[in-house]
Amino acid sequence: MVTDLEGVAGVYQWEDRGDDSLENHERRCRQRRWLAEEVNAMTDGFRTGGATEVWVNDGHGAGYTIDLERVQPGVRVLHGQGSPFYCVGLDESCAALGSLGTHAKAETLGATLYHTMGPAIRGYWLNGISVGETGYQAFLAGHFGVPFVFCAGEAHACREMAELCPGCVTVPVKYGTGRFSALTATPEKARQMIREGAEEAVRRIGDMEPLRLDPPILFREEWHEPVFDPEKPPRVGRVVDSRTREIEAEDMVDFMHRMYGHDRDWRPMWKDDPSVVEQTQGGKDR
Amino acid sequence: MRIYLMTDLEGVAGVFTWENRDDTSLENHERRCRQRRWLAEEVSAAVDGCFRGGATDVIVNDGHGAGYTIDLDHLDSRAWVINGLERPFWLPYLDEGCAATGLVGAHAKAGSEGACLYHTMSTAIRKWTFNGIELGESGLQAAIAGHHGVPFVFVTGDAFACKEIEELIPGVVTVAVKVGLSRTSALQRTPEEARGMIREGAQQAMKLVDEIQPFRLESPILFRDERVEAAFDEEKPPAHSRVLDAHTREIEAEDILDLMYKLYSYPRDWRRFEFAPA
Repeated sequence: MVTDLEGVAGVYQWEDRGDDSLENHERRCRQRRWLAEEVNAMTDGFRTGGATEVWVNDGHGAGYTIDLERVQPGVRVLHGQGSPFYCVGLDESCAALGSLGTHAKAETLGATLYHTMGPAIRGYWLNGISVGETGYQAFLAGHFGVPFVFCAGEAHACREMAELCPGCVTVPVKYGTGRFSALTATPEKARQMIREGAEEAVRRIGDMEPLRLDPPILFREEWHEPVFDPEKPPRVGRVVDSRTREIEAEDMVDFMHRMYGHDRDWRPMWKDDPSVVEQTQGGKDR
Repeated sequence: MRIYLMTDLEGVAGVFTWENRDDTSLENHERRCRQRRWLAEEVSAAVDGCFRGGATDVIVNDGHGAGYTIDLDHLDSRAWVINGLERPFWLPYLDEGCAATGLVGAHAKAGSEGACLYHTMSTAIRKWTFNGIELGESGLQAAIAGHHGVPFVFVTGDAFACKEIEELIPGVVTVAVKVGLSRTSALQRTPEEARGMIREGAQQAMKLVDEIQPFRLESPILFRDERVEAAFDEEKPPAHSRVLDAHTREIEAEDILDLMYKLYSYPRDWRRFEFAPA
């Protein structure tokens, strides 16, 4: 699962990592706990539904948002900064992908904390299909034949993913009333809803189609403000105008390597030595 | 049976000072955390009473100040909560889909000498009248609910706030958890006792949902806004307003919703996301 913070029940404002007030510190600690508890709920649901392994990509902001001490044993959490690939561990060895704490894509008026990657981006398109962060991840999963089966988060985000991946389970834990307000479930209620939804999602895995793109891939990125100078083009891509660039790629993995400049030769250690991850497994008997 | 609960902080048992969101001292932080918990516990008691009385879902509007006052970790998990800033309306989701509305943590309206922390929206307001009827926040809520045919059945808070709504709405259930002595002092119930009273009151109010008449203002509405300090300039009147003098303006509106759109510049095209609680 890929996690984010903006779609967690109770959250309605951008995380401010520069405000060192006591109030903000308390809020951030609380929200990290809320996220961790939603991760636990989703893990419970996945496991009850039949999942044998749960990998979590701590996807929000600085990459250290999930309060690890509260996460149940056996879950493997990918976190930190400067990751060697976008969504490490998401490959053909996974049975399914889900998202937690999901927010709607850029320009989704009425949705709480909508954005794609950052508020400066006006939109992402893959072969003409508008995608937010979660759609982007669903297409990456599709490259590996992995279906997107579950979305928990804000209602507009749930609708967005239900349209992109018909049949996926969606759990709206809050309903945007504006960009910085929502009608939210309590954290406890949200966990219960997520648990039930995640269990159902695992049962649907066999019925869900991976979200695939026909290669080659044309990625389009639009910004609100001018950021591209045709005279000094970015490291990758073709500048269409000062707010827009396009990137062509063979497939989603090739695209990710181009987009983020990741080392194509990098392999996670567990690909050559699976025992390094098996040894850490503690949740088998749960 | 959906119940819509508005909430505020000043009428919660134990509270006697204005919340200061700028004071970053440890003492103030502790006080704010504690009061957020007290509010959550009182709202929980009301939510529980509503469910015991037959409610099937309860929407809670976290209405105080910055819109993030209820401590969600201490709230009855069955409630759904509207929180956050820059909202599209004062009372989103309060409409024909609700069976009744109530208010937890109420304070008395502006000018209520002797009441604890009395005000209407802010301390800058001296008096608000609607077609000559003086209303505070509870009355305004009742009028908006009444526009949708929804009765206002329940209030908790300062005894002055309770008396205020009783004069407006016959039969309304009121729970006085404190009695104002001055603007910043009160005879208080303990938080625990207050919760018990609130739970009972809310449950009792559910029996009156079909008996209490919605509070309706006649249309059109002539709204008069009187300020404590000079606030208006006849040469540059605020939008939709007629300035009577430096302290007073009037707004004419078709109905109470139209007035709220004019007063707060809410977007008229906002539509709520269809909400079906799980």
